[in-house]
Amino acid sequence: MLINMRIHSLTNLTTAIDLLKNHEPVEIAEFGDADFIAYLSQAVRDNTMISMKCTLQLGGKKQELALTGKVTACRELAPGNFQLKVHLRQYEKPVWAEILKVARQNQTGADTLFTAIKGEEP
Amino acid sequence: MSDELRRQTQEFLGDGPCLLVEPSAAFSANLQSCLGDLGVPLNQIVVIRKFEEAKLFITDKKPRLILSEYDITGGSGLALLELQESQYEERRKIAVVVTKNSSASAVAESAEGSVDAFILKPFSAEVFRKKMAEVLSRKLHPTRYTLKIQEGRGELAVKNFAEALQGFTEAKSLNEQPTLAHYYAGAVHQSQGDIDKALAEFRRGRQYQPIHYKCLMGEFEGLMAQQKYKDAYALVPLIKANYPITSHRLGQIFIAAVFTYHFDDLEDYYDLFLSMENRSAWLIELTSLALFTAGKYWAKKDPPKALSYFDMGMTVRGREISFVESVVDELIRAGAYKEADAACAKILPTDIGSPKHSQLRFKLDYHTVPHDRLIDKGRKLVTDGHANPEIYRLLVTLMSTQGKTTLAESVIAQALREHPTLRKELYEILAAGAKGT
Repeated sequence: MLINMRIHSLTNLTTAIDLLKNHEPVEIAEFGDADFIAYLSQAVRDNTMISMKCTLQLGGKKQELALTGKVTACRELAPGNFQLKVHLRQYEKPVWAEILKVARQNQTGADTLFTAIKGEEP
Repeated sequence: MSDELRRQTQEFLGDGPCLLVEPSAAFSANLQSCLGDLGVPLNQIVVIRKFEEAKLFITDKKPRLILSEYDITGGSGLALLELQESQYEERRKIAVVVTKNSSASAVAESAEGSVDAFILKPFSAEVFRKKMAEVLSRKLHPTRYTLKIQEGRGELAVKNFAEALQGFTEAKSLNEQPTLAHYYAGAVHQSQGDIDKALAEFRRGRQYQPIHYKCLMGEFEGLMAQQKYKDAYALVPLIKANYPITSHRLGQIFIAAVFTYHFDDLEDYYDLFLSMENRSAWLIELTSLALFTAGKYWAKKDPPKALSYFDMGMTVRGREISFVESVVDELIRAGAYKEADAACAKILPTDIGSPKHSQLRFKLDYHTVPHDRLIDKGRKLVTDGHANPEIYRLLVTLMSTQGKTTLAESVIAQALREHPTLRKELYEILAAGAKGT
């Protein structure tokens, strides 16, 4: 089942500046229990409180989500490419749990089939 | 991150490039970060988004580690990994698919090919690390059994059949359940054209693991190659129950189903066809042919049932007019005019009024409309330049049986200007018609 979550606006709650204004939406690359990783073209200070408006596609179902969280780490991978780790504060826990569950099920299902087909393949 | 994993990565990769074929900016960044955690320097990671560029890079730089999306603009990630496979022996390359495509057929096609690991997006750094650790361990520290299989595969790839077989024979004694060794021994025989010996090996392999994918598929393919369709088709329920059907396999199943007259099963396979993301031209051709054959089979016995198969065939072919024409012709031949009319109505709006459509309509009307009302229609086809030999034959028959000999002669004169070889045939029709009246 397809999982795709994009952040359309990412607002610094202190300055009220939308860091994604005039930018393409940013895809969430990694989901954690109550956190995520995304990549931005600009740095955000650690401990910055942010709010986000996102679209989530889970299989054929699409929905909009509003989240708030705190930037726990921002690492520059290359010029203009920053890895942002965000810990979630306010979010829809059942939806987040569903994302994690689907991701786990997807990988487990793929692993089972992959191994069955490979056999004891080197 | 364990130092051991970093050391293994370094040992495997050396200072060679690592290729990332990843269209998404977010995931290419994430993969770079994950590779960085494994100790791969950023300057050794090359990110490419498009198929052709990646192909050129692989040909030129021969990266030993490739991570690729399954679906890439302009081509398939698997094709890139196959290219890498042709450059290196098994233990010297790592091919990983990292994809959003969680379909069973994507997993199956990857596992059937040269892919070492299949990772679904979004993935966690932990999953990535675990998969890479497993693959690196297999590549750097293979078991003796694995090593023998790898050696044999290397020999098989360069068609050193005797050496390959020797390797697989030795491998059989190194594992309690040497299913894979039997599979590859079978593959050697298959490559040499000795299908009976190949089948014996695949069946031996299946004694250890009855649903072993490679042995099961080897047996199925061997039986198909021997045109033992009944035996091959008997394996289909086992395959279907345990594994996804790939595009190639579905084509073979259609062939086996048709040759064994399992027409009633075709609807299920048609549904499988519709659910496939990638339908090759070969599969489209084969599916439509199978459905056409089923329709033809039922045309006289059960025309509505025939029409349902023809309908599926027409859908598969995107209601291509030449296919619709074959369907209508077949139904006319069977005397199923109502169904032929329904099939004719499936012609795409853009083809209505085309010469083919007019011809088809006329052929059908010939069997359903009183003949005295058809002559003008036929003459219009001739005037519009839409008549073909078949139309000329029908029109001359119509005219001659209704005593319109002079009119028929003028039509023959026109026909001969376009198709001089019809002379004898058309005059014979005229003579026969005149006799009848």
